[in-house]
Amino acid sequence: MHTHTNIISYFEAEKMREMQSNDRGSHCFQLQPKMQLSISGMVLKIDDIRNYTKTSRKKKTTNNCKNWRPWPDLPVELLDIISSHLRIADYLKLGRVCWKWRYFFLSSRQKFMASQPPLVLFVSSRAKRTCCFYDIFDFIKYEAKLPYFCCKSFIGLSCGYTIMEDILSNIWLTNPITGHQHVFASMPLFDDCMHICEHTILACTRPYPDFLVVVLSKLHCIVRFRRYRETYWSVYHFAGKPWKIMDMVVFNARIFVITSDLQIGVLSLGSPPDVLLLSFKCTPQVSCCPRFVASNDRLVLVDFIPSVALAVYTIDFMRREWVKVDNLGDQSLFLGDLVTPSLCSTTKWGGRSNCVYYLPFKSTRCFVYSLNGELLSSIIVSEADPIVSPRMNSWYFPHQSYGIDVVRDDKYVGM
Amino acid sequence: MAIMYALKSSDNEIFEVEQKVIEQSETIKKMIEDGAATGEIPLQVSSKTLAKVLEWCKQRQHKTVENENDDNKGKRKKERDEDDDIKEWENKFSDELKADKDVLFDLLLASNYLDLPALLSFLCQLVADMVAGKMPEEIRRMFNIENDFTPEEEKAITAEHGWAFQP
Repeated sequence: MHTHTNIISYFEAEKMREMQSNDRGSHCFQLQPKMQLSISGMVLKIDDIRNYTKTSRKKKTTNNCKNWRPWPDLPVELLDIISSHLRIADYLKLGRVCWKWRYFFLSSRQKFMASQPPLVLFVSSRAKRTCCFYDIFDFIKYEAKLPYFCCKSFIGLSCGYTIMEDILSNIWLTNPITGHQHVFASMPLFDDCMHICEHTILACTRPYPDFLVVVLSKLHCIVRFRRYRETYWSVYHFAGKPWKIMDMVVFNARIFVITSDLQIGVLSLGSPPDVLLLSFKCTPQVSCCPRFVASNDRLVLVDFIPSVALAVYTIDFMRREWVKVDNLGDQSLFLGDLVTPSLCSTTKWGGRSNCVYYLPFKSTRCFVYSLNGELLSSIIVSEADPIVSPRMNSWYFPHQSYGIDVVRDDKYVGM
Repeated sequence: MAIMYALKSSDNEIFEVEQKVIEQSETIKKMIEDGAATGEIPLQVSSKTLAKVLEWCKQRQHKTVENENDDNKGKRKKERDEDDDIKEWENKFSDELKADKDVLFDLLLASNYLDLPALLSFLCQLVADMVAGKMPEEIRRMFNIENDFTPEEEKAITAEHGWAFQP
C-alpha cells in the first residue's frame, strides 16, 4: 500500500516536472502522473488522490462519449516502423503531437536523420526567403523558409547549418531542421567583395563548449576564426609562406589543412594561431589540389576534375603515408562546391554505390561518375520549376544536422 | 485433410483455423513447434481484433496457395488480375481501419504481439500515410490525442520548427 513518503515523493515529482518544464532549453522533461496537488504545503490523503483520479477519468470518458485508444502509448518499436515510412517534414511534426511522441522523437532523431539521403539545396535568387531541398532518389521537394533572407549571400554549409553573410558582413548560421540560429557579428572585410569564394566550417570547442567558425580565404591568404563568446576574430596569415592553404576539415577533434604543395597540417587555435605541418610518404601525383572529405573514421581526400581526373586517397596515420582508395564499398561520394564532400551509403535509397555524385556550381543537374572517372548518368534535380534559378546550390546532409563536429581548443589545451 | 487449431480470444471466443493460416504468426508457430499448443491456444487478443487478424491471414494464405497451383499458361494475365484483386481487397481493408481507429490501434498491437511482419508493416505504412502532410493539431484530432504541452512548451517547440521544412 501507499505510504506517507510515497505521496510526498509524488508531490516533489510534480514540482520537479514543473521546474523542468520551465527550463525549456534542456529537453529533459520527465513524465509524471498528472495530479493536481492544489493545496499548498499540505499533503493530500491517499483517498483524496484516488477520488481525484477517479473523477478525472470519469470526466474524460463522458466528454468523449467513446472509449478511445491511448495512441500516445503506442510502443516505441511501432513508432519506429511508422516513422521509417515518413519523410523529414512529417517526422518533425510527429514530435510536436504530444509529450510521449516527443520523447520518442528526441531519442530517435539522430538515427532517423542518418537514414535520410543527402538532399540538394537550392537557394533561389527570386524567392527571398525560400530555399528548396530536393531528394534526388525519390524526386521529392521540400521548401524551407529562412528568416530575413534579403540582402544575404549564401556562403556555405557545415554541420547541418546554412552559412550566410549579410551586407554588414555578419555571419548567419541557420539549421533548417532544428531551427537553431546564431549570428556572428561583423567579420572584418579586406576589400568590398563578399566572402563567396571562401570556405567556412563550423565546430564546437572542447573542453570549454563554444561555437567556432573558421573561414579560409585563399584570395587573401588568411584563415580567420572566432569563438561565439569572443568579440574578436583571430587571424592566421600565410601570405609569407611558400605554400597556400587550399582546404580544411575537422577530423579527430583537430582542424586539418592541406597546402598547395600537398602537405597536410594541423591548424592550432592558440594565440597566436599556427599551422603544424606533418610529413607523409607516398604523396601522389595529382591534377589539382585534393579536397578533404567528411568521414567519421578516416581522413579522406578526393582529387577531382570533371571528366578529367578522379582519385580518392586516405591518410594512414600509423604508417604516415597516403593510400589510394580503389573501392568505396557500398558508399558514394557527394561532391559540391560550397560544402565539404561527404561519404554516404546509398544502396538503401536505390542509389549507385562506389560512385561520385557531383553537383556543379549553380547547376540544376547532378552528375554521376564511376570511380575511374567515367560519366555514368546525369540526374535532373528539378525540371521546369519556376522558382528554381539557383543562385547557389549545395548538398545538404541530414545526418549532420543534429551533431556538430568537436574541436580541441588549443587556447586552453596545449598542442 | 488440413490440420485445424482452436484459438481462444481474451473474451473466450473460439476460432477454428487451419494450421497454414495461423502459421504466418511467428508467435503461434513457435507455440506449436514447442508443443505448447495442445487443445485451445489462449491469446491476449479480443475476439473482434482476432477476427480481423484472421481475415488478413486468410487473404494472404489464399494468395500464396493460388500462386502455387498456377500453370505457366496465362499466368501473367492471371497474376495481374490477382494483383488488382489484392489491391482492391487491401484498399477496402484499410478504408475500414481508417474509419475505425480503435480497431486499427488494437490490430497494431495484436500484429506486434502475434509477430505478423507483413500485417505490421502494412499497418505502419497505413498510419504513416494517415499522418503524412498533416499538422500536429490535425493528428491530435484524428487519433483523439490530448495536447499535454503547456502553451509555453508548445510555443517553444513550434518556434523550433517555425519556418523549417514545409513539405
